[in-house]
Amino acid sequence: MKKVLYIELENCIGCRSCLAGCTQCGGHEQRNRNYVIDVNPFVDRQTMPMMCLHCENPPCARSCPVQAIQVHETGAVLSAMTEKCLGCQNCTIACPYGIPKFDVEQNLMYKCDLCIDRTKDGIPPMCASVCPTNTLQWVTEEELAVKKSQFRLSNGMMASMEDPYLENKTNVHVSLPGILEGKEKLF
Amino acid sequence: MNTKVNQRQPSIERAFVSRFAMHMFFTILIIFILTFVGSRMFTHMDLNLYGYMVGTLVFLIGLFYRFLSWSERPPAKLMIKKGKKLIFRKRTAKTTTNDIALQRFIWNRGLYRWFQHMMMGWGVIISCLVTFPLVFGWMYFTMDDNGFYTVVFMGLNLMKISADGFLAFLFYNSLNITAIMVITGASMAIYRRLKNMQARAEQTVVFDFMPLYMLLFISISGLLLTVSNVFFKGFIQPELSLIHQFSVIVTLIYLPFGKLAHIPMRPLGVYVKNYREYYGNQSMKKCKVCSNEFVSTEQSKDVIDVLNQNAIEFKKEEGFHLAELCLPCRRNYRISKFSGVKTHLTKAKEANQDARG
Amino acid sequence: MQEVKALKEISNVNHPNEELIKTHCSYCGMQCGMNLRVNTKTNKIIGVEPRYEWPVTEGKMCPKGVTAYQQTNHKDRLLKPLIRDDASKKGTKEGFREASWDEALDLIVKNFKALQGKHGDDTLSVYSGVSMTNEKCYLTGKFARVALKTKYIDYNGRFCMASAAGGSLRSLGVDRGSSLPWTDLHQTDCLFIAGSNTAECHPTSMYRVWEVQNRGGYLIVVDPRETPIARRADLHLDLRPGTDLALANCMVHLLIKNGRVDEEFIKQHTNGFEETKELVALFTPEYTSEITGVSPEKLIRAAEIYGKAPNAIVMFARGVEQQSKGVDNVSAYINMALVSGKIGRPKSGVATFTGQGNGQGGREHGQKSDLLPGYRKITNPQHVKEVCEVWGIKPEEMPGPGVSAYELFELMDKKEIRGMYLLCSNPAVSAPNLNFVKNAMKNLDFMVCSDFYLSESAEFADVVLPTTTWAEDEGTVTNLEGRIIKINRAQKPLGECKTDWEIQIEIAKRYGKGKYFEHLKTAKDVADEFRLATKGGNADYSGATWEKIEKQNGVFWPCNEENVDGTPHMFLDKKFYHPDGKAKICALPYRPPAEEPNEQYPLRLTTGRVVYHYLSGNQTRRIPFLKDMCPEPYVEVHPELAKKYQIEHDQIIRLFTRRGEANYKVKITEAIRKDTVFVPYHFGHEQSINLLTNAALDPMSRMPEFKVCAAQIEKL
Repeated sequence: MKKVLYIELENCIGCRSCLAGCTQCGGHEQRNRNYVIDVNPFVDRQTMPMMCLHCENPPCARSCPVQAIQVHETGAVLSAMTEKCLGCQNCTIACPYGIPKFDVEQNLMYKCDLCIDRTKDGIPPMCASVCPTNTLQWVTEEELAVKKSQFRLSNGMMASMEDPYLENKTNVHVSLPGILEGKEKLF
Repeated sequence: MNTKVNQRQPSIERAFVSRFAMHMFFTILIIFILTFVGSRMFTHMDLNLYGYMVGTLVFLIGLFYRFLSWSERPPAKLMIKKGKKLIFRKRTAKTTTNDIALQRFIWNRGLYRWFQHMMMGWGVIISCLVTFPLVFGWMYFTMDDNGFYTVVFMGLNLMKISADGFLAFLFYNSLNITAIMVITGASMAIYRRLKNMQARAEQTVVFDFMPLYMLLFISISGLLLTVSNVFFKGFIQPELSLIHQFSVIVTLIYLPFGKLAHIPMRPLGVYVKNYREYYGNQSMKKCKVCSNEFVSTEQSKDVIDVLNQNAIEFKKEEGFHLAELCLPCRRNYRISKFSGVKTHLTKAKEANQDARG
Repeated sequence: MQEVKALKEISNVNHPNEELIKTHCSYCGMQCGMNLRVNTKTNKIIGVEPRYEWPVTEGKMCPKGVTAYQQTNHKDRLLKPLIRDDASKKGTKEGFREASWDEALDLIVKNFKALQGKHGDDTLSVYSGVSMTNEKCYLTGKFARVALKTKYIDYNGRFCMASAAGGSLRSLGVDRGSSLPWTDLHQTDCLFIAGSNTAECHPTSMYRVWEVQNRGGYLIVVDPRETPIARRADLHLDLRPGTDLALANCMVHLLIKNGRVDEEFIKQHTNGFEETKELVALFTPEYTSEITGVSPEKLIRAAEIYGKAPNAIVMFARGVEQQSKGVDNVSAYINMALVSGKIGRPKSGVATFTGQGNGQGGREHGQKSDLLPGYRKITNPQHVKEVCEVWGIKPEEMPGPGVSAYELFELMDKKEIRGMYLLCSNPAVSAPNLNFVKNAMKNLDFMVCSDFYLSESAEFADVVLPTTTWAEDEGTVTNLEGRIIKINRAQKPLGECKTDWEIQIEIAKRYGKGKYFEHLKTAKDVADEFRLATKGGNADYSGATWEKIEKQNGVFWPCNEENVDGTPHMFLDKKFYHPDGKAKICALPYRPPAEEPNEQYPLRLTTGRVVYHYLSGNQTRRIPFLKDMCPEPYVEVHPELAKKYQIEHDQIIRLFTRRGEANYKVKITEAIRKDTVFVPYHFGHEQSINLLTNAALDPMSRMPEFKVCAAQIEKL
């Protein structure tokens, strides 16, 4: 049963557990590869996670001169292969979402690999495992379909490339904030 | 691989059906000439080694196939083109020393990994530097009566060395020494891959372990040849020799296609460093949102070009291409798309995104 | 929720030479389930793995939980006892030397005995905490009363849960933080949450909170700040700090006015409705709005939603409790559930968010100045007799009731208390009015501190004893639901560290009280005696064996012969714990905070937590991730207020009250009232906001008023 990472932006409380969890994943060498952004820091406490969205046609990989960024059979866009990466940083410039990180000392790019050691075996990546708010969820395609029908927002339901929200088709699905808008109340 | 004959190609290329054919032709031609000269018109060829010669030829076919198809990809093509022009910069020597010879960047990934890689890396490189000249007769030894050897390199008498001297010991045992280096490095690497949880998370048996086993096999079978010669009067020496030769040939054929392909690829790191330094000094790109300089103007442009060639374009209605924004602004810009709040325009510094684990 | 392949099948979860030890987080009352990764060869904790099958939190953890394992083998761990010979260096980190356990313990006993010989038994005090197992909490109470024979024992729950306990006892006759299990939370129709920054203090509750809204239910949040939970609430009642009682009375008033009361329930199962009705009549939305600063429309809407909801849960936390009328606030909010009958059935009830890991269990078993194991009263001769039988002492040997935590410091100041044994707490950061408290500690003739890091409080000690982290010992804790759960030992104690119960037994032996303690050889032995001691009390743990806890994922107390499996839902039979079986609806006249703003101090100062730190920060400030994320305190200021004072974001200002001052970086945010400033309290020394806070105590719970005092800002 294929599962996908699904992000419900509205839920985020900015605890950055996903960052802490990321550092604890087996292949991550104690460094986090994701971001949590303060949406409007002087005004309110809204935050949103910014994860690698694992593009179906990943610009990072397309811009890599040495094919160091591989796409796993699950669709996960992996971190640069250490022996191949020459440190040109094209990927960091190409990524439309500003995700890949670069270690100058090690001359090496690193990015979210969707905890491939976990997700290839069907358990959630660390970020979605620990997320206390269900902002990050690891769901089946069926569960995702339910979500899509559940949230009817005036600004479209899910972020997609047809809308101005995303630049391309991604393996990670994002629901925009405002999921409670137009929600039918119980009473 | 590009097999179309294009009118705009340089004339010399038009003589061949493909670039691949051209490269193969010239490489073989050069080797032939070198061998002709080096072996004094083929008079000093060691025919025991002809298997290696065949292996080398197959290896070259693979190498050119692999690298030509790779170099046709837009980002590679661009990097090679610009890197080539900059190769005679002063910094090349320093970068080569640091990155290729000393592998400083691996040092920064950990002392253990650096040591294992130096052992394997230099073990393999020195082995090649010794083996190939021997195979093609570019280097050989003649023995004089007075207990001295003459080292002949490319048909010239390079030096005379005492048969019992230290240098002679090094020459004769060079492959034994490199074998021990490779065995040390590969064993350390295998141990790390078995024990280190972070290495375990990413590795696969075929991709990560097989090359290590191959190197180990070559080195051990090579060492056994020596052992057989020195201690057992050449016991099963022909069989061992065949096994060793076979393992080397298989590895050579495999080399361009697996993990070891990074050996011929890595020197391009020098191109990359030159590219970043040179264009970085020329002019830095200012982020279209926050005006911070984040990459060279050239590279920003190049990435936009490369993406265009892949039919990817991130031109926004604000009039900038996303590759013209620094990373934090690019992230904030996305959040602004999600939230409707102009996050990328707020004056606040981005929160810490790189905490220690 | 999510179906998960059995963990042991997955190669990258189960590593060779590693063991996963099932346990719970060391920090807050959520007690999130986690697995600790332990290297079986070195017996060292090396990481964490989510515990997906734990029913309360399903593998979820906040950043503190994820990094909690890093405490145990931290470089700052104390590995040997420390002795300071030069008392003039008290209050600093200087002057300590390493010593053997024998030397340290002998020195403690010599000094304690000398002090008691000269000034009487009650010259010693024990100041404890509840971030440790029930077994340790139980033994600490016994140690103080049987070994040291002092009446002065109290604990840091006075700064945490005491008001919730007092309010629940008065209203419901029993103090179990939550009347229902957390797994009910997301199934209810309305959450009314007052004074809880849930998203930062109990983050793993949040997915259940959001689920209520996702189902079409309502979330009402009462908080002076627009915290992350308030941001998404259907209704945010942004009241002035310290005015909860008025707001709660208004809610009850409107429930009655709207006819949203359960008359049958009130008649059958409660007392005090009529007086309360009369009292709250005053609290019209308009009048309440004047006091609280919340618009009448919001108040009306909130009462309407809560009243209409088929099921609703009223929840509260330190925001309402850490006030000089904390107990009244709690009872007033419980009134909402009692008048509407929304208690004593699944998906409806009242709950407080317990702050400390074992805030619930730790206060039940005799660490409080007036309590004995099983929530027995030390003033009740029958209760004393029952406990004495277990302890093997005569009732006349049992010391009487002592005083509350803050009052201990007052007695130290008066030299009535001259010695202190401090464990599991860091009052040099967490107590209010710190200038006074620190001075009181400096005044002590002899002080012992047991901790695993050199805390700010340890700086006042003569002897520091190296104790263990939570992962080096086993035992039970009671989480915020009232669920008794098991902490497992993942690693042998580091260096020469000893568990607190071992230390107490060692001291008791040297005190000549060995016969009351020697039979306790393991944590299990302590647990068995502890369960026996609770038998027959209100908080009866006698049936909660470790085996049962393991088998049924925790046991809800009460768990005795009658409720063999425990009691997840309280009051299902509508029986409350007062002698007549009825709950009490309390008529509570409004009182303002002890300190109201004036010209000299025109601002209201409130304090609280951030998601990256826990309590005094002695643990979390040492964890790299958490320190990187929140390295220093700050003061939250509304942009309009900032404009008035002409101060800017990131500028450093002086904040001061009648008691103290400190400098903070300004953080501009519209998510706070214009008349209020906020500072997180996790930081020590000159960064500590408790230098400024007010020690006005609640008359019943003796809880200081951390949450509101009058302050002023000065530009530097």
